[in-house]
Amino acid sequence: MNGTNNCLHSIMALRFIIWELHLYLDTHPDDEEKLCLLQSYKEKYAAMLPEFESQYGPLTADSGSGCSWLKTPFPWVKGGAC
Amino acid sequence: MFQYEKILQYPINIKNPNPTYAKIIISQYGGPDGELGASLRYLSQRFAMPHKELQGLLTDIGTEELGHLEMIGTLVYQLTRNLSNDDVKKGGFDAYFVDHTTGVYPSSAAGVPFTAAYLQSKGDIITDLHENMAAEQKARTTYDNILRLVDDPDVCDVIKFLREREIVHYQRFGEGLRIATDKLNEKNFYAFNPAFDKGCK
Repeated sequence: MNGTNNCLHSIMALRFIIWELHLYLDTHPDDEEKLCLLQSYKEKYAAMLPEFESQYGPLTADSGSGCSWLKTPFPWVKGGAC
Repeated sequence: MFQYEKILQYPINIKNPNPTYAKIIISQYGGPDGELGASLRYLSQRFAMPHKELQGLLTDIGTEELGHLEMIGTLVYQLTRNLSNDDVKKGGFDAYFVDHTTGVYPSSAAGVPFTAAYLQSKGDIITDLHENMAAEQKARTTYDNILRLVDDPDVCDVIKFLREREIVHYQRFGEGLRIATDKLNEKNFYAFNPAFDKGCK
């Protein structure tokens, strides 16, 4: 149970920093240093994503449909990505 | 186009259902300073914005607010699991329950249904950005008020995260205002409305 949560929380943390940098870059579009930082976090995320999706199922409609999309609980339900 | 990601922005795991808390927190779902109003406001305003930084900012913050809407819905959902009729009555949840059971319905804590009257999209850059900065502070105050009324650390943790995001959004909108005024006539910011007047971008 804890192992599952660690994977979920790590993915959530990575997604958060990626989003926060993306938002910051809307008002600071030329900040090369932050763009670089964002790129490095995106690489870490891409590396972790397959393990996450193997536990929680597809994250978006692009990565699964039908039984695969519906198998794991939606994120407001305990056991889903909440 | 909107894509959905099947994961919350922040973890929510409520161990103790509490319909009293649900009744209060639902104000951030459909209340005057809640996440539905915020997302609709920003996603609507973006069409009139002539500058790409502001189009991006409004689209992105509007999208994040939809994610927050989902989190508030999740809080209400998890706070209203396995209630007995007695829990509903004692929790002061009966008025909401009679109309919605434990469904999630966009309304305020006082039971007022959501309305677009809670937001403005004025089609003027300076006006809209000020509207947004005020909206973020109103949301922050509402989260402050929720923290005064709720004792459960599982709930407070999530509310503190959402509160912090409002402060960050306020900061971003302030930067947006600076970008907008930098591009305007420095002698008179109100000389024309770049969102409407022809040839003025």
